[in-house]
This record gives sequence, structure tokens and C-alpha cells, in this order.
Amino acid sequence: MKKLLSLVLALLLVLSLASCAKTPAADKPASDAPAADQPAADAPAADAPAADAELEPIVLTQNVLNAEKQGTHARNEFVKEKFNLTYEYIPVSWGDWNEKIRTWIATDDAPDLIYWDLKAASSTEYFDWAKQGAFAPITEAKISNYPNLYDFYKTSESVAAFKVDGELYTWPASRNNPPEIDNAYTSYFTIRKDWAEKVGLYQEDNEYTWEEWKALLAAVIAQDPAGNGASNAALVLPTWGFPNGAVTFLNAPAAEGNETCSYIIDEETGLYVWPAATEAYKQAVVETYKMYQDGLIYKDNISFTGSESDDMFKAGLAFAAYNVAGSLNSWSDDMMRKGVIENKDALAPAVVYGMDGNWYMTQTEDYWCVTSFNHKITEEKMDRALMFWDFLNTTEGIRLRWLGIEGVDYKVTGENPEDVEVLWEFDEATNSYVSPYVNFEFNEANSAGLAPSGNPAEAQYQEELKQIVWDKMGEGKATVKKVDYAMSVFDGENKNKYGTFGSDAKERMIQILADPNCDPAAEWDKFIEEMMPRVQPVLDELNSGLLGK
Amino acid sequence: MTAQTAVRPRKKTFQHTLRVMWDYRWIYLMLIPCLAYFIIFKYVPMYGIQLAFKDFKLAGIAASPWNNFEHFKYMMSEPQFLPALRNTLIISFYRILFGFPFPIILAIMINEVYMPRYKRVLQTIYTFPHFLTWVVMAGIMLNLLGSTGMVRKVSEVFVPGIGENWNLMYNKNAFRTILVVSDIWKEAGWGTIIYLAAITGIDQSLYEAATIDGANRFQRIWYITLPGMINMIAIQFVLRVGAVMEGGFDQVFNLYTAPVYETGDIIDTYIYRLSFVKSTGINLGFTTAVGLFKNVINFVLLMLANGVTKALGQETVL
Repeated sequence: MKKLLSLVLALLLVLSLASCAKTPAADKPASDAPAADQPAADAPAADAPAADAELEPIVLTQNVLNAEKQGTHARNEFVKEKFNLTYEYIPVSWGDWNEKIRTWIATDDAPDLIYWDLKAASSTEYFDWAKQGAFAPITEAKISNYPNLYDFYKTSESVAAFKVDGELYTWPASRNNPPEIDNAYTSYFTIRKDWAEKVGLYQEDNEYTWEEWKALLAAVIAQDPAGNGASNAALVLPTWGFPNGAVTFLNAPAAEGNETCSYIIDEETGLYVWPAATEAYKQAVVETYKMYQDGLIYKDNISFTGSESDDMFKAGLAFAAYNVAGSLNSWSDDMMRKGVIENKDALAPAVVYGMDGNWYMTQTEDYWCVTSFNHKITEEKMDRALMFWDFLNTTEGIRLRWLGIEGVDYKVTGENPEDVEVLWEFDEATNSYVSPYVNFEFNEANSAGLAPSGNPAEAQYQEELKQIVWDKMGEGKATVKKVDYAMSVFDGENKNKYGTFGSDAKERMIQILADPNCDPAAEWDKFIEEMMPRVQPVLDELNSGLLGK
Repeated sequence: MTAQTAVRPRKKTFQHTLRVMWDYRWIYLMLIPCLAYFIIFKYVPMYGIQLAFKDFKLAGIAASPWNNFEHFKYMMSEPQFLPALRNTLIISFYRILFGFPFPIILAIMINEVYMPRYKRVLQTIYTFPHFLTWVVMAGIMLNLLGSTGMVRKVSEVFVPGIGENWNLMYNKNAFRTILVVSDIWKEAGWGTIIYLAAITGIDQSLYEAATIDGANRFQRIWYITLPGMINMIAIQFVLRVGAVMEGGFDQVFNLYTAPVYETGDIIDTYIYRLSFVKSTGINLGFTTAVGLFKNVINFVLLMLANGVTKALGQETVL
């Protein structure tokens, strides 16, 4: 028995070690993609085969969110049949996504397609890795074979910004936003309209001046319209938007994308400044402090690390949540199912004007996430992926993402993507179609760019809510705080070393909020004084490098 | 001369060692997985320590250039590093001072319970929190101590108005206490297991003899139970001191927030933020340098504690 046990243990060990070994590369490496220790080089152009040509079977590995919901539905079968393409999904979550990519790149063990939450403001690593040959280049010669992708290649600001020595090493997934919204976050507060009506401060046009907004939040705290008692909360913010979502995002000065603080050009001096060091930012800190101390911002928001703010709102414990267009429909459905609200009309989007009367929107990059190709990927694999992405940007491809399979999920009624008759069951209660794919994900499609809005399967309600925000933008009411691509990807020793100091500013703002006895303006001045010795060298680099001053 | 030769132990030759190993070959075979684990996961990675002195490049560790101790210079110049080091040491010291004796006392108290069923129930209750993750524990702590938490509500009943400006979870002066108390709450029950095992090994006849001699309960604890546990306590103490630079990442990470960084930010959480929160991304060389720094201090303290324990005549780990 002892001998047998020993042998089994030893055998298991050998097997487990063997399973750790790398699988040999099946095909020849993509183009002239360099090894990790060699400089990047151009890949020769390759003609893209037509989608209906005879295609060899290809398996692509790609990291995706919600991997457990991937690969088992009709759309995957469609992709397999049309492109002879199968995906192997490598799971990542929001919590470990970038961490895993860093590990894969450092160990040269990345999947074929590296799907990446890369932001321009934190792109130092991307440039460093691209220069070291971690990714296969996406040459213009290659991408020009795919007309729908090439359109974006030629016009995208992020494509231009992400080029290294003239070559692109990652594919930004276009947001495909309507041009009128200028890639600004359609940020607003989702509010409980029924509560606002109860306290008598609801505005029919869903627009609030700064003072009206604060009065509304204060009334909710004072009157507790839902009878939540000690748990009554006015405003809750998502982790990424705390505490800046309450005041800073809605007011001047500019912040880049979702970053809490980056670098902007001061209109008076024409020089780059650190927004946190401006008077407007300090004013926002003081205002946030007052709102927090007055209980208008939920006190325990500081401890939130995940979806607690959404959960609180959906549980009927909070009056307003910072939001972006797109979530309202699913939120209202959830809340109706759980009996928190009786109808969708209980929620509304609140547009809040800043302290100076302007409506500020923060622009984001023209892409959501990016996908890089492993430097070891083969030509065939790369071409197949690009072919698939190109298709996803055609009318048929957009319908595949929105709805699914023609004849099963929809019937074509016209030429435009939205000219379809949806064949899904219609739910009168929620005034929306019931998608058979609700429990499945098709995240490999996101690399091609997000599906454009206008999805006919979305509830009219959802469209109307988005339209409220977009109409106001179209009327020119919004001041969009622009992304500065050149500054974001600027390659400077100090900027690469220190970044934007955004997290430092956010941390200190939270520290100030939590101290009920401090003078926020004085504390902020002290913080700026502490930080400037490290910030100034970055500003000097930007001013001399980008402005020649 | 002959007698001297007769008593001298025979020198063990390599052949003799091999013969013994062959005799016990099946036992040695079972040792292989364990040895392989330590070699693969503990010794081979030590090759990477050189990253602390290099700028990491994707071409590999060997091809990465040496950087003249730049990571260590940067470490010392970072304004948040020294406070994080100070916090790590203080929090660890508090854990040893207050947290280390707690399982010992609890084990003795549980041992003194006469009713076996009651004793088992107590042990289960005390041990259960160990199986909750710090994520769950942090949620419980927030629900207890937060602005809408139970402690505030109960306090307001007795001291009206105390709830105004309530910020116990975000009070830098209270944070270390919260850490130590919650750690004791979670881990003290689990920690008793090893001490209860040591108590079980004490010869029962000693207690019987002491009882006959008129020793009361406290005297029996003092003169029999504690001396019976002392070797285990010494070993645990040496191991605990050897981990002084581990401030308890899981716990601190889940409980701390920006307002308490001044007193609660430890080296591990500081490195985490530097790597995954700041916009500059991870610096493998720098994080390796900090890891090396921590481990060198841990090693020195471990040797020191081991030496002191040995000098006091107790069992040691080395």
C-alpha cells in the first residue's frame, strides 16, 4: 500500500509538472513579429481572404470578462460556420484584468489576443511593451484590407496617438457613438422621480441648477420620503467616481476621460497646469466637503469597493446615483422585478448644471478597450481575427451583435441595420423584447468596436432617456471637457515616472471629507504645496515638449 | 586505545547514507513531491531576486540591465514609503503585544471548561470567524461601525447626539485598534487549536498530584499548564516575530480607506496602490526591491528571536 501510494504521488507530481509545460507554437509566427528581446518590425501585407472562401480552422485564445457565459450560443456557432473560427476564452475580471495582463506580458505567456482596459492617460506601459516587441504590429498595409476597420484607422485620434514609430500595436475598439455626443460621457444622475415629487421639488424637464439640485438632496434627507429611517441616503457614487462624481466631474476644470485629475492648458497663460492646483478645483473640493458633511453624499460611500452604490439605489435606499446612459433600463427592470418600484416612471435622469451655470461633460477617448496581438501570433490567426472584426462592423455584423441570427432572431425589412423586425417575445410589462441571449455573452465581438446605438431591441424607454441627454448636448448646452491625446501619451521621464497624480488628488480629497473639523480650503492649499515639487517637473516637460515653452 | 576506538561513533560515510536511503526508499519517495514543491516554488524563484537591482525588460531577467540600486534609492525617496514601514512595524507590534497572548489565554480558558459538550460549542463559535474571508469581515465591520451601523444606533440611545459626525471607520486614531480587535475576533479561536493540542499532551497525573497537594485551579494553570505549553509558545513566538513585516495585507486592504492611510497604510498595501492604482503601472524591479527589503528584515528578526529563545533554554524553530 505504501509503495503504491508513493508511486501514485510521484506520478501525480510528474504529470502536474508536465502540464505546466508550454504548448509548442503550432504555426509560423505572425509576419516579422519580433521576439521579446528584438525591436519591433513591420509585418508584410497579406491579402485578406473573402469571408466565403475556404478557410482552414483556426482557434484563437483571448482574455474576456464573464468567460463563463461565453461560447455556447447560436452566435458562436454562426462565427464558427462563417469564419471557421473558434475562441478559447481566458477569464479575467475587473479586479484582476490589468494585473493578469502585466503578468502575461512579463512572462511572455499572453493569449493570441490581449484584450485590455488601456486608457490613454495610463499608457506608459503600452508604449514600453510595444517598443520591447511584446505585440505584433498592425500595419496599415494589413488593416487596409479590411475597409470597415480601415475607416476607423484613418480617422481615429487614438489610433494616431497609439502609434510607435509610425506603427500601431493595439486596436482601439471604437465606441461608435453618434457624432453629436462628441464621445462625452452622457453622465447624469439617475434619480427617484417619485421621491422628488413627494418632496415637491421635481423638475419636469429633468434639469436642475446647482442650488436646486442641492435643495432637492437636502429635502430628501430631511423628509425621508421612502421612510428608510437611519438608512436614508441622498446621493451615492460608484467607486470610480467617488468623490469626484458629486461635484468635480460636473464643474470646471477639465478632467481627462474618467480620470479624476490630469493636465490641462490654462487659457490665460497658455501653459499646462495641474487641475488640482487651480482655484476651480479647490472650489469643487470645498463644495464636495460641504455636501459630504451635510449628509447629501452618503457617508459610507468612502468604504465602497464594488457595486455597492448601484446596489443601494436598486434596493431603494438611495435617492440618486451617478450614472451613464445605458444602465437606466436594466436598473428599472431590476427594481420592478424586486418590487422596489411599481413602474419605470419612478426613475428619471437628472441633468445638473454646474456651479457657474454651465453643463459640463467629460469627454472620453474614442474607444472603450483595446486589443493587442501577441508577438507570437501567426499571420493566419491575425488575418482571421481582423476579418471577423471587419464583418462585425457591417450591417449584418451589427445585427448579429444586437439581435443574433437572421430568420431566427430578426427579419430584414430594409437596408439600414435597424431596419428589422425583431422576432423575440415582447414583454408588455417592461415594454421591451425578451432576449434569448440574456444569460450569454459575446465579448469577443467587443474587440471590433462597440455596437452602435439605435438597437431596435432596446426599449423605447431607454432610447428616450438617452435622447433627453443627447438632445441637450445637441442644443449646445454642454461644455465638453476634451481629451488631450498628445498630452496623454506624452513620453517624458518625469511623466512616465509619476503619471497624472490623479490618485493622489483623489486620496487627499477623501481624507479631507472624512475630517469633520478641518478647513478644506486650507488643507487643499497645503496638499498642493506638498505636491508641486513633484508635479512641476512634469509640467515643465509638457510645456517644453508639447508647447515649446 | 582499544576502548577509545570502541566508544567512538562510527563515521557515517556517503555509502552508508545511500544505504540508509535505500532501506527507507519508499519513505524518501514520498518526500519527493514536498521537496519538489519547495525547490520549484521557493528556491527557483529566488533567481528573480536580482530584479531588485535591475530594470526589468521583457527580454528576461538575465538580459535586464543593472541599475545601480536605483529601486532602493527611489524607495527611500518616496514620501509614503517610510510612513508605511513605520505603520507596518507598529501594527505588527500591536498584534504581537495584544493578539499573540489572546489565543493562549483563550486556550487555557477553554481547557478549564468541564462540560465537554459546552467546550465543543465554545470552540466552534470561537473558530468560526476564521473561515470568513476579510472581504466578508469588512462588510460586517462596516455594518457594525459605519454611519448607519448598529454601534452608532445603540450609542445614540445612551448618548444622544453622539451619532453626529460619526466616522469611526474613517478615524485614523481608531484604525489600528479596529485592526487589532478585529484580528483577534477572527483569528484567536483558530489560534487556540495548536495550544489546546499542547495542553492535551500534558500528563494528567501532574494535575492529579497537584490537586492532592492542595493546588487551586490558578496554581495548576501557572505551575503545570503554562510550563507544559511553553515550548509551543516559544516556537509560535519565534515564527510570529519572523513575520513582523507582514502587516496583514488582506485585512488592511479590505478595511482601510484613504482617511486612515496615515496610520493604517502598510508596506504591502502601499505597494499594491503604487502598482495597481497609480497611473504609471507596475514596476517589477521596484516591487521586488521592496519585497527583498521586507524579507531581509524578517530574516534578521527571525534569527534574533530564535537566538534569544535558545538562550532562554526554550525550543526553537532552527
